[in-house]
Amino acid sequence: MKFAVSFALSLVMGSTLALAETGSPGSGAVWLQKVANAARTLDYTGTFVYQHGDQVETSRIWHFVDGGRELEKLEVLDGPAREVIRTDDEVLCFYPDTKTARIDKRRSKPFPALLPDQLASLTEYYDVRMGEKERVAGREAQLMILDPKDGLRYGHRFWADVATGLLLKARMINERKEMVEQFAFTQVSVGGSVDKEALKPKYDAHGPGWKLDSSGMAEGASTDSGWIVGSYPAGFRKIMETKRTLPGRPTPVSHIVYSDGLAAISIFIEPLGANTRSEQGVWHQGAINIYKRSVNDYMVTVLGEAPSATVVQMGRSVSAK
Amino acid sequence: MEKVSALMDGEIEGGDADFVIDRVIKNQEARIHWDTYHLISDAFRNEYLLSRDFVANVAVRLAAEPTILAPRPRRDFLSRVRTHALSVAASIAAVATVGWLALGNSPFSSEPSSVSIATAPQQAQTAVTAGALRPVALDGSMRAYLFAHQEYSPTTQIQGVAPYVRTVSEVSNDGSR
Repeated sequence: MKFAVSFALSLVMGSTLALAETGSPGSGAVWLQKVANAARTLDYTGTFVYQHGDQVETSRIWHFVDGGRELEKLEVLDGPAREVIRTDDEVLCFYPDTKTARIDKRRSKPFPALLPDQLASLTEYYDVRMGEKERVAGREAQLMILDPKDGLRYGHRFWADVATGLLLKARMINERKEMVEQFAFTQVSVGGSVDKEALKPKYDAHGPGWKLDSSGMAEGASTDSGWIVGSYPAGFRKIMETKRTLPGRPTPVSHIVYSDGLAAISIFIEPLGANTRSEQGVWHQGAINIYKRSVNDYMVTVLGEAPSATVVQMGRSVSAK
Repeated sequence: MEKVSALMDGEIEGGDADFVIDRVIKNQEARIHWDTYHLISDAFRNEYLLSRDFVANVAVRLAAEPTILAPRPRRDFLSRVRTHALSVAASIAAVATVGWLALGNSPFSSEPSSVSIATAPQQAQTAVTAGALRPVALDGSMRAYLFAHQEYSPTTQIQGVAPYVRTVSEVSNDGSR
């Protein structure tokens, strides 16, 4: 209740809530909520570095809110050119080397992944504390540390701009305190005028020679998937269960999401068909670990920003009702 | 039996490893092979035979001192055993895997436990590190999965748009583009 009040207050007070106010219980959660809101509501442009394993990739980002509508552009500067344009309800990715564009539909309203009650209980599974103030991208940043109390989730470091709450740097670390993944702005400007021209795509998905791949999944209504995840770490609970359709696939894909308030793990179940890769094992994409196995005539894919032991454990516990 | 030894030496990975691990869990004979290999390597190290619980004991010891499972492939069985015996780290890492198998609530448990595994944090060891895993092939459905997942991830929402880099980033298995 106390948290609910402080949470509501934080929404009312908005940006006047100082990042340094960390004395009361749940203030860490309020802080995280504020950081998440800042990323959605502020206008900013900048350059950031994405690092995972021994890979480093630099990108430029533009974020602009126009009459409540979010417009975003991401341009990968290293390696093959890549461009991502995100509007409220869709994400368009350009792969100019193969003249392919890909469109993915989003929920028209973002899912409230930062659920207040789950955020409030974060301290049961993470040691949450404020770190030092440090300089990131030439700005003063407040560090927040979340260390897991077990080996089933990653540790997090968030550096947020003291002046605006914008996340300037984020790091995920494993149980050996090794960095799994990091995003860090090297330069950023917040507020001021955004060049709307810069937000336009460089490429035309309908131009000559381009292929537009719209095989992204449409989301269905919340439903019982008919599948059970028998085992998951303490503090995780099911936050979503639905069936999605993939164009070209005759049957829908079940999608179940578990979260502990910070990390999320998705379970996808689709019938094994001619188009389905039947390979089993463990892979990763940055900090996201992926485990695949077949159950009867279905392929179960479990992925999330959690140690491989966690996705494997959950994957092995999936069964039909 | 050959496969069990290959698994110990890290020569099997991905789905094949999954298959062999499954066998070790379910098949008592495979389990005996597994234990025998570890006894042999113990003997080479002049270590006394531990109790039947040695696997569990090592797992507990490991909890205090995490190890990376990254043994190098070996050619013949004898050299496998010998080098294995010399390589304490590799051996302990291999036992870590069997530690999972031996403990009821482990991530590799064949019967999902109704008890949440975080109640036993000492078992929570990641034998497969991010560095040891292969990058996933970003085919159409994997991209779709990653996109769909990110919408529901609190971490991603805190990070804003930046995580979309993951879904467009393309790095081949050897780390080059």
